[in-house]
Amino acid sequence: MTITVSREAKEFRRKVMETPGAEKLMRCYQCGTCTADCPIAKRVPEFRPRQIARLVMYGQKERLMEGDLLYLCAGCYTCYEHCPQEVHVSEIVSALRRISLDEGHLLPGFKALMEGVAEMGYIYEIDEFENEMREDDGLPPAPVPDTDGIEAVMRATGFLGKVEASTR
Amino acid sequence: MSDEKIGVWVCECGGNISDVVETQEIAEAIKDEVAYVNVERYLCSKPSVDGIKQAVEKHGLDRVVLACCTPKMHRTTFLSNLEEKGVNPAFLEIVNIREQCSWVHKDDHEGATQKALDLVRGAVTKVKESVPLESKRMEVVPEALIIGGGVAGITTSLRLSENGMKVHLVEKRPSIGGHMIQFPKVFPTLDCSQCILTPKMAEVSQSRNIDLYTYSEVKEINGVPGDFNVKVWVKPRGVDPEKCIGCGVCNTVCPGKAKDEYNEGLNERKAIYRPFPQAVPSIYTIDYDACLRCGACEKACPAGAIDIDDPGKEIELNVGAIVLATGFELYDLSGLPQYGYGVYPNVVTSLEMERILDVNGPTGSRLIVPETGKEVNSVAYVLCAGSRDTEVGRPYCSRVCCLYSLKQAQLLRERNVDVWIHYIDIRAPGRRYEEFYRTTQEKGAMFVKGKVTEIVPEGDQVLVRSEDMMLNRMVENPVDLVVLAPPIVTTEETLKLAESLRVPIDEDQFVLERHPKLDPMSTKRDGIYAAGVIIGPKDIQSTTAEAEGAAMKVVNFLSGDRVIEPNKAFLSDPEVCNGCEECVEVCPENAITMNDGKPVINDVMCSGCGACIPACPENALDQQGLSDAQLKANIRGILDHSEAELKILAFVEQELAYTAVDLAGIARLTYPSSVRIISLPSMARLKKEHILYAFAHGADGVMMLEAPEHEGPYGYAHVISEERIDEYRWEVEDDDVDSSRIWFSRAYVPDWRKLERVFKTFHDIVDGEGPLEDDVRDALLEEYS
Repeated sequence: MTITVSREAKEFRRKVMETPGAEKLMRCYQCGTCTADCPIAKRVPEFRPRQIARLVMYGQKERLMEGDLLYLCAGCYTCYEHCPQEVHVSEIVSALRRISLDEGHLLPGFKALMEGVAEMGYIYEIDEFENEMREDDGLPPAPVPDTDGIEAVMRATGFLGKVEASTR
Repeated sequence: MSDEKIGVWVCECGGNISDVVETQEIAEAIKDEVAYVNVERYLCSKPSVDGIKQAVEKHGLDRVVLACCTPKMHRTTFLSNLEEKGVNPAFLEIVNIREQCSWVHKDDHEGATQKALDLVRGAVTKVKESVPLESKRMEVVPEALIIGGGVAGITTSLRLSENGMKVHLVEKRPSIGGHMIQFPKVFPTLDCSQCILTPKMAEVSQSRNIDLYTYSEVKEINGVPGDFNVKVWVKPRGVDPEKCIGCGVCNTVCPGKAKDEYNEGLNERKAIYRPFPQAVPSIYTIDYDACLRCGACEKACPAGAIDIDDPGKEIELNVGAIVLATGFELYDLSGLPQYGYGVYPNVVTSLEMERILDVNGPTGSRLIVPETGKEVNSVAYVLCAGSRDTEVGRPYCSRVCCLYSLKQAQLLRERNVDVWIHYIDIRAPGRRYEEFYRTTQEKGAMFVKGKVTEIVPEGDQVLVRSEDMMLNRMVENPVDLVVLAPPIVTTEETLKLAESLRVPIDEDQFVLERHPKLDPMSTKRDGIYAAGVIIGPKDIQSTTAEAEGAAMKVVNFLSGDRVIEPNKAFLSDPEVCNGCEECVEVCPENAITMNDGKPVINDVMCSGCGACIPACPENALDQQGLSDAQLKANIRGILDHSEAELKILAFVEQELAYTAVDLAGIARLTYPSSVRIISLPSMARLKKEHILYAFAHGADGVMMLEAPEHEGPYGYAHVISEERIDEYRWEVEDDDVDSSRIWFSRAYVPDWRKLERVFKTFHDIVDGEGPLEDDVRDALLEEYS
């Protein structure tokens, strides 16, 4: 499909690049180091960090927001470490996720996960089974989180509101 | 014994030779044929060299044959020592019995000894036929002509002037400065090009050593390297440079108009004009194509400097060397309709964009489409708009387009303009260039990998279509202005000039260097050098480097008398010459002209390749230092008394192929001792007669080892020789010599290893044929005794 360059597209690129960490996008010369090193790209052919950077350059918002593309990134920061131009694709992906949250495109699984954090203080429930395993490894039981406090902080920053409002 | 007093020395080389070759036997065998013989342990040692000198004096020897290592080792030392004793250089023969004998036949003492003896005999017979030769000296004119007043011509002129040399700088436009003065900024430093070039231009006008001829063209160049006669046509400009004070009153009253070349024709100038304010010389010029001949300027001029009837004038110069620095022009894009240049107003060339970006440019520093006045907020660059395109006939990279586009992109990004650079490859090799590329990226220029296929109008914008190879998708980009990067090409005028100077150009129509790596500022012609884009597209940095280099070449060339080596072809028998001009045709150096129906060979231009000599159907030509008589004497000397069973005569090109053969010896490769070597400047020196002569006198096979086609010292001679030998190969069958007894191949220096196989294979072929049949040889001998 043909990409037609538009004002909106340029505006979207500007918005991504305003996010701290994503400023160096335009330095990308598409060498593909990020993709070759990416543990996800090895298994998921449609996840190509190089192409994500390129799509942002073209301001291809819809293409970026569709499906689970942005949420495939494991956040391992290998691309961050290896990029010869310090483009920081991982930060660009974070910036894109932030925009997807702002605009209500949070993936349902992630929505459930975040709501779980607000409720339990952990991304999954800690029960006796987990604590027995910790004991076997010589660790103390997991601390009981201050769930009220966590939820308060999440709500105060506006994060929880955005998570709850996400309708995808 | 004849009158010549020949001394022969045979070197043992501390066993390197004498462990294989019976040196005493050779001395014994030859002693009755010459005046003096001696065997030395180390011939190159000081006591031995002194011994040679003493013997020459004591025995009154006039000719010397030294059988030792390759002449590439000690020839110069031996020669200078013998010259001290009054021996003419033509009377020294060195016989290579180490690299080409003892080292390669180490298991064949008998064969090697016979071969060494044969070679010594060959040299003795040859040196008898030698005549004394003197190199001539030619006075050179210590002045230089520089053609082209761009940054290359300016730099060379200034450097030569600093050196104290008289320089004549000829520029076709009214001012020097070339293309560089059109650029507002230069990469990668982004400094103002006018600021750095203007002082140099002023220096040219003030230098006492530089005579500047602007608005002038080189009309004719005759003469020889070191002494050229040049006719310069100073075009009529209607203004006396001596009187014009550059006040510009004439310009204000002039009604005539023409396109402004300095601004790439984007606006108009007057018919009487100064191309730009800092022009050198700072005078006005009448463009007679636009002049209405109203006389207003003549009346208005307060200095009385204008004469509308200026007829122009011709000036004659006498110079020793010439530097070509005529630069380039952009390829005419009207033949490439896909880019819409000349059709859509918002498609411009990169040079036009340079002017648009100049604060003093045709748009007065406003960023607008020149023709429509529309404001420009987005610009797309189309790289390789014709370059690297065999269809366009410009298969080469124009080398500066990536960088000037990056530069323009930076200037545009500083003004917050959207920039798209469509490229195939971004090529930014060079000091500080990668950094410049990264800075351009950081400033936000968008790079799209994929060649632009077409540009189509869309409203008052144009749509640029290309693929984005990174995404594997098509891209359509509407922009306000498109800048094309056309191929950089040589001008028609330069091509004509090169042709008239007989300076060869390459397939891309740039001047061919004498050697692309090791002698890049020399043309194929002596005394003519080149700098800048005339030798291929390049940036200012490389251009000035070449300009400095060309100046050094000129200084070297004109720093003393020229030595003319005594190796030239000459008309030995004017009586039989029928004026057929075959020699004129074949001469690779264009050194032969006809005068009164006879060829005149220019000693300065003749390289001594020998290619003309076999071309003469009447045998009227010969060569100094390598006459037919010497060559034949050498052949029969080697073969006549040889007792070897099988004899192969190998003619070897004396520089590269000979070195390869030496290297085979140094590596102690082995090949049959049947091979006896005679060195020649090129195989083009050989006549069919020489080959038959060799068969008549005992050769059973004849081989030629030519230099590689394009690397040999004698240029085209090494190319035509192959065809010639091929003809001989079939022609000798008329004399009942089987064509398989003749072998031609080329020897590349690094290919020395293969020589072992080449020699052995040919030996086996000849061995298979057996010695040449007696009746064939006898018949040949009757003709070639």
